[in-house]
Order: sequence, then C-alpha cells, then structure tokens
Amino acid sequence: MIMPTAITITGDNCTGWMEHARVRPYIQFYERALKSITASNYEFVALVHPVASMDIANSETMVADARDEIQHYSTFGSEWDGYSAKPFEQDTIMKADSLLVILLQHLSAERIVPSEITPGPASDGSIDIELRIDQRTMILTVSKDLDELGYYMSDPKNSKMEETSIDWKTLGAHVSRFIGQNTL
Amino acid sequence: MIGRLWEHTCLGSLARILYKFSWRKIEHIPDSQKLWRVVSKPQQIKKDGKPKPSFFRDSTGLSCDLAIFTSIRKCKAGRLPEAGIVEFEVSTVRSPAVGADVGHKPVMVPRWNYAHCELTKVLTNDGISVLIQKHRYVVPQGFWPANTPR
Repeated sequence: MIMPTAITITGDNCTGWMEHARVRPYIQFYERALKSITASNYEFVALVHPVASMDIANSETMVADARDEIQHYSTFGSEWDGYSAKPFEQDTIMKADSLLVILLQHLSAERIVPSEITPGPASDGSIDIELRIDQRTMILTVSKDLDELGYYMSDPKNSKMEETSIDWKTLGAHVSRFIGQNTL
Repeated sequence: MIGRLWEHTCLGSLARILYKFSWRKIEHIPDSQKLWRVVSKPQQIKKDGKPKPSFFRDSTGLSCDLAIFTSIRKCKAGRLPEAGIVEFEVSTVRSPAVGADVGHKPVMVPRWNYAHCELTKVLTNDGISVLIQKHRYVVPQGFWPANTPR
C-alpha cells in the first residue's frame, strides 16, 4: 500500500494541493481521499516523497497525544474504574512517559509511522503502551515493579508471538527489533 | 435450591434472593453465565469503542459482575452517564485461549455488590485479545460517538 505524504487532485472544477499534518494514520486518510475523489470523478495522483519529515511529525503528534493522556491518569483516584482500582503512582506515570520518548526516538530513527500509539490505564495501577505497525502489535506494560516491563509482540502475518518480562536495559533492543522488522 | 439458582423462573429468582440476602458465596459459576464489566472512563476504550487491552488487565484479579445477580441500573449507579457495560461469557474466560476462571467474590466496598466476581488468573495478552474479540456492549458507551476513526 502506498502511503503518500501529499496528494494532488485535479478535476473539472478542482485543482488543489492537500497536505495532512495531523492526520493519522496515513492509510485512513488515503482511503478517505480516494473514495471522495472517485465519487467526484476527479483524477487522483499520489506523490510519494522519500523524505519522511512529515512522518516524523506525525509520530511526534501521536506520542504527544499519548503523553498528554498518561499525565491525565494522575487525576484518577482510588476505585476510578468503579471497582477497586488503585490510583496511578507518579513513578509509574513518569516511566510510561519516558517509554514514549524512547519509542519516538526509535520511530524517528527508522522513519516509521505507526498506525497507532495507544496508552491504556489498568485497574492494578499499571500502564500499557500499545504500538501498532501494519498488522503487528507490541504492548509494553509499565507496572509498579519499575525494574521490569511487560513485553508482548504479535505478528500474525508471520505467525510470531512473544510475551515475556524485560528489563529497561534490553528495552531498546526489543523496540529496535520490533520496529526494525518494518524496514527493508 | 442451588439447582434452581441459574433458572430464569420465579423459583430461580427466589433462590437468587435467598443467596443474596444470606451473602452466600457461590462455589461454581456455570459456563453459560454472562459477566459484565463497566467502562467508567473514556481512556479505557479506543475511539472506535473497542476496549483497550488494559481494560482487561489487573494483576490483583480482574473485577466484573455476574450479570444474573445485577442490573444495568445497579452497574451504572454512581458512574458517568456515558459509562457503558461490556459483556463476556464465563465459557470464554475458561476457554483454552484465555485459560482463566471466575470466582464469586461479593464485596462491600466501594459499595455492597453481591454480584462481584474476579478472574482467578492474570490474563496473557493473547487471552485479552480473545476477550476483546468476543465482548459485546450490553449498554453502549457514550464517550466516543459511533464510527469515530481510531
């Protein structure tokens, strides 16, 4: 699937240039644009730029949104889930935040735009960071046991799955391996 | 009386009332029973309404309610009007793909809840993905409008 960083539309009544600075993920934008253009009988031209500065900007936006959400978890009190959930400790939030920064560094270095970066609050006070690239999923879980991280990787296309605990020292290697699988 | 506990009949209702008032712990929950878990915060779900994996993650035992012993009104009491209720089956929890079980655990805090249950095992991410696939909303969540792109 081509993922354009810009598209040109030409038609009877329309000649324009569209850029998408904050659209995520590219693929959804591409599909939406294609549908609307087809419906209007416009000619569709997708330009693929080798320079991925806009990709990096999109990853930055996703990570910034995720970091904002994680900071919001500090406002959750006891029993925030309606049952017996524990509040989030500041250390856990800080670790999850730094995890996102590490992810962004790796994504930027490899010039990869994930389809999704989703943080998630768990009732036991741990925080998930879910990263999706194409059909592959990585979930990192930051728990109270701050020396270890939950690591889960699923790659249905290649029938691969891994679930284990990792320490922060090996985090970079695991993330690189997951993200690096997307580079040719 | 225990044989009637799961029946949707007058005798079944009576059996459930007796159990509830005596605060008697149920030893075994049949596979056919449904479990409910409330979506209390928008951050627990994605913008397409699907629960995030963290919604089903709790190393201390995931809380849920035994549907036959509760009601939508009770589940939503004290929660935001947008709160939804996710349903999943006991048989799914016990399936090899999930590999857990459900234990009846009535609680008095944060409120009296005889229907309260806990999953007896910490779920793996594969197990969680099965629950995400097989869940359904009994009460739709109102935090994100339907068909919002993820």
